[in-house]
Order: sequence, then structure tokens, then C-alpha cells
Amino acid sequence: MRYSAALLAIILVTISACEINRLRSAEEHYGQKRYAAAIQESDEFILKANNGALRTRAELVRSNSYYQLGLIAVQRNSIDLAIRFFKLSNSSQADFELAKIYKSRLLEAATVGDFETQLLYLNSILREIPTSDLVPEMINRRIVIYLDQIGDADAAWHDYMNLFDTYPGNSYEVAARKSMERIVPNKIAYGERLANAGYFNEALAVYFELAKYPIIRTEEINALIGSTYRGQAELYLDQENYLEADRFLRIALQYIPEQRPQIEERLRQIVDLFIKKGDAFLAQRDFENALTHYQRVFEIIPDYPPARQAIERVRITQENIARAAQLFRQAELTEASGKVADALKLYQQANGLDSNPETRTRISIMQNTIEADRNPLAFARKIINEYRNGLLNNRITQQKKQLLGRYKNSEIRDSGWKFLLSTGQYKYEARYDLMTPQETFLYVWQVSLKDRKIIPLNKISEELMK
Amino acid sequence: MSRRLVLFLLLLGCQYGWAQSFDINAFSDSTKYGWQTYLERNAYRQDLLERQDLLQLYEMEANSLRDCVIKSAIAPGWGQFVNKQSTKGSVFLATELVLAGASLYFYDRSMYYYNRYLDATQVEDIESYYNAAVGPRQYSLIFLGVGALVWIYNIFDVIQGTEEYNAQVWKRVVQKHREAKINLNGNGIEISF
Repeated sequence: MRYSAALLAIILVTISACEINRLRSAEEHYGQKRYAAAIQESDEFILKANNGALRTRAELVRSNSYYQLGLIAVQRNSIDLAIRFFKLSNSSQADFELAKIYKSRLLEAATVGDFETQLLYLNSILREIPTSDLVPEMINRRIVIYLDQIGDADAAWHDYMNLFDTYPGNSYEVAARKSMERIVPNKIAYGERLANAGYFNEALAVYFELAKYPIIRTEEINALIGSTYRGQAELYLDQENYLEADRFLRIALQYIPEQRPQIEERLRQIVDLFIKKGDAFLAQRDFENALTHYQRVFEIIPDYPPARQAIERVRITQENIARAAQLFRQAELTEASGKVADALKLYQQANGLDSNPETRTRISIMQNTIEADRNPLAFARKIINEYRNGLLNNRITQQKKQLLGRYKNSEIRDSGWKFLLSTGQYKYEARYDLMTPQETFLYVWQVSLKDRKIIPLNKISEELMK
Repeated sequence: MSRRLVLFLLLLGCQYGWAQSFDINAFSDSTKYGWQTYLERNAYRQDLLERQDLLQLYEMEANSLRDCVIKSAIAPGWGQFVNKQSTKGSVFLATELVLAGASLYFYDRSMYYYNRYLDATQVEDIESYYNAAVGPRQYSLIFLGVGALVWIYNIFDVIQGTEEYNAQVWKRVVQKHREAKINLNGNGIEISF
């Protein structure tokens, strides 16, 4: 009998020393509502247990025990103690109760208008119990406090964004929209200030942020975004960055389709600017740049007829220039062979295709040469007479009038124009003498028939030409 | 009776002493588990929830202590086999078989001489058979006693072994879970949250 008792005792002691049995002891305490004892045993067990699973179970027992103690504390109106027990419970059910306590305290503060205490409990719920069902309500309450009490519109806006992003369509989110509509005009004004100052991207960021949330009509925000893109396009137009301007105008069109006629007109103006710029390059004979500009038009308006015509003009101009150069070379050869009339024709043809100073000079020379060959003296006289609308004749006449004031007509000897062949081909000397008993004026010029140039050969002739 | 009274008083004294030293503030101190901030509290909770999810896996793989004890009580070493300690299980089983066999053998020998002693009519026979029966009986009892001790140790060992085995099961479950979150590939270490 004694041996049996000893054996039984050994077995009992061995079994009672098992971890699982020590855990069961804590669980039994919990089952029998001895929560403090359950916590005490669980704490000891958690410290000593080797098996992590059993330790986890003990932690759960401990958490539930704290939760039950928290509920008892609430029943006994020991709210501060309940808060601590619920925090120690550290479970979602404890959080639920904790949130209820915070909310009741918040409502108490709200009845006396103590917004700081309200914020304290609001923040506690939002920070400590982010999964609580009360979160949307708390965010909405905080938005109202931010707007009505603190005047921090930015903080309210961030709260609303968070509320909408996390709980879209929630009744508190819908209620918060009304509050947020109050700050929309300010945000729009801020965006407009940014856009007016040239900070288009920043302005668009403001508008796009607004557009994400249902606190502004879609047409209204689209009009703002579209206008900002238009503004950006106009800036690029000023900077002559037409492609970017076109890109932004097209984006603007997506947002403000009702402004299609105006925008398309603006697009046409852009392409006309391209064509104008191309024309300027064409005038400078920079065909490559001219073509580049004309072709850019097609990126904006495909097959735009004026651009096609401009490109055709470039092609014709290039052909004309090539043909004119050919004719010019031919004319030079003809001129060298002495066929001046034929050379003149060729030069005139070349000039018709590509008028340039050199060809025009050559034409003039050819015409002069022909006339000089026909009657050199008459041509020399013609050159003198036509020089600056008869300036030489007028001045000589004036000079003679002055002499007539001082001398009798019979005392003045007027040689009239005399033309003599000068050194060099197609060059003549033109002379005009006015002589009195005391004064002598001997004018003499060399007249180049080929280029109609008149060169004074003495000082008084030079003075007369001035 | 007096022993029971002493034990009761002792327990009562301990309880009274514990109640005297109970400090409600320390007991309800929300930072006593090292959670200084809500973030730390939340981190602990996430860890606990994660471990709670693993408990199901653990329960499926862990051995029941009661079952192992019953198995080892019925057949020494059986529980050890269940705990994947086959060498130990074999040693227990073999030892128990040898000891039981030896005990039975000597018991049988003892009973043989004892029956002869009962049937004997001569004084010399009676004495000689009795003396011959006493020796094997003592051996039989010794082997039986040693067998009982080994059986008890076998029970003790299976309890320890099962606890150790279950602790390892938990470690393995946790390890597997963590490895599932950390994946080593050609680009480096990928951690999924």
C-alpha cells in the first residue's frame, strides 16, 4: 500500500511539473474568473516556459484576463483603471472598449466646448486604435475642430484626404465634404495665384489633388486644369517653343472640350507661326531650317495645306536657284565670248528665276555695254544728265548764275559739255569749263559707261558732286 | 488530519501574504511589459496575432502528452517512438521485456519449487524445495521492481520528451513561417510583409 502511494505521488508530481499542466492551471483560473491569479500564473509561465506555443497560449490567457478585468473596472466605474487594463489586454476587443471609453470622454468634453480635450481623445483613438470603427467619425470631428476652432485648413484637408482615401462613401466622409467645401475657394485661389506667377506645375498639383475628391464639381475643376494648361501653352508660345505649346493645348482640350474652336484656332495660329518662321529661313536661303519648320506643322495639323504649299515653294525655289546658277554660268561664258545681247538675255532669265544683286549688276552692266556700243557719246551724256536727277547740270547752272551776278554775260565763257575718250575701254572724260576774267572753273569727270559710274578728276568737280 | 490542517494554514498564509503585497498600480501598469508607446504595443500585438495564427499548425503537428503517456504506460518506449526518439524507445522496450521476462522466468522457477514443496512429504524435501523456491522468488521480485522503476522512468522520460518534441515543433512552425516571408533569390533577399 505504501509503495503504491509513493508510486502515485511520484507520477502526480511528475505530471504536475509539466508545462502544459501549469498552463492549464492558469487557464482554469481564467475559467473560474480568477483573472488576477490567471495573469499572475501566466506571467510566471511566460517567463519560464520552454515551449513557444504554450507561451503564446499563456499570453492569450493573460490578454483575455486583462480584458475581463477591464470590463469589471468599467462596471465599477473605475474608468482610469479600465483604460490601463484594456491597454494591457492589447487586443482588438479591448481596443473596442477602449475606444468607447475615449469616445464617452470626448463627448463629455464636447458638451462643455473643451476642444483641446476632445483633440486629446480623438488623437488617442486615431493613433492607438487605427482599426476602430470610430475612426471615420473621429476624423470628421477633428476636421470640424481644425476648421472651426484652430483654423488650420491644411490639417483639415490632410485629414479629409485620409478619410476619403480610407473610407470613401462612409457617412462621415460624406458629412465631411460639406466642411471641406468651405476651403475649396481658398485652394482654387491659391492655385490661380501659383498659375499667374508661372508656377503651373504647382498649380496643377493643387487642382489635381482637388480633382481626386468629391468636393468640387468636375466641370469646375476641369475648367481650372484646362485653363492652367492653356496658360502654360501660352508661356511656351512666348518662348517660341511651339511643340510644347501644342502639347499643352491638346492636353487642355481634354479638360475643356467646349473650348475646342478657340483652341483649334490657337493651334492654327501656332502652325502659322511655324510657317512664318520657315518663310524667314527661306528668305535667308536656309532651306534646311525652313523645311524643318514647315514639316513641324504636320506634327500639329497633319496635311495642313499652307505647309504643303510652303514645302512646294522651297522645292521650286531650290530648283530655280539651281537653274539660275546654271544660266548665270552660261551667261558668263556668253559674255566672255563677246555676245553681250545673248549674255543679257541669259542673265535676265537667271534673274527671273533667282534675283540676286550679282545677277542684277551683271544685267545692268550688259545693258550699259549695249547702249555704250550703240552710241558711246550720247550714252555718256545721258549718264551725266541722269546723274542724281541732273544734279551736275543744275549745280553748273547755279554756278553760272552766281558768276552772272558778279560778271557780265559777255565776260563769262561757257564751254558746254565736252566728251573725250579716256584711258580704258568704255570710259570717257566729261568736261565743262566756266571762265571769267578773274575766275576759272574747270570741271572734269571720268564716266564709266559699263557701270554708269562718274568719278571726279579734280577738287572742284568733287565739290560740285557733294 | 493534523497534516491536512498544517497544509491548509500554510496555503492560507501564503495567500494572505500575497494579498498583502498586491500593488494594484504595479499590477495595472500599462508599461510593465515593456510597451512604452502605442507603437510598441501594436508591434507586440501583431507578433502575438501572428503566433496565434500559427497555433493551429502547431496543434496539428504536436503530440498529445496524454496520448504519449498512455502509450508508454501500455508499452514502454511507444511514446518515445511517437516522439521520434526511436533509440530511446527501443532501449526502454527491450529493457522492459528483458526485465519482465527475467522476472517471469524466476517466478516460474520459484513456483515450480514451491509446488514441489507443497507436495513434499519428507522433512528434507520440504526444506530443500522451500529453500530452492525462495531464491528465484527474490530474483523475480528484484527484476519486477527494477522493471517498475524503468517503467516509471519511461513515463517520466516520455513527458519530458513530448514537451521537448512539442517545443521543437513550435520552433519549426515559426521557422517555416519566417522562411516563407524571407525568400532568397538571384536578386538578393526578398522579404514579404
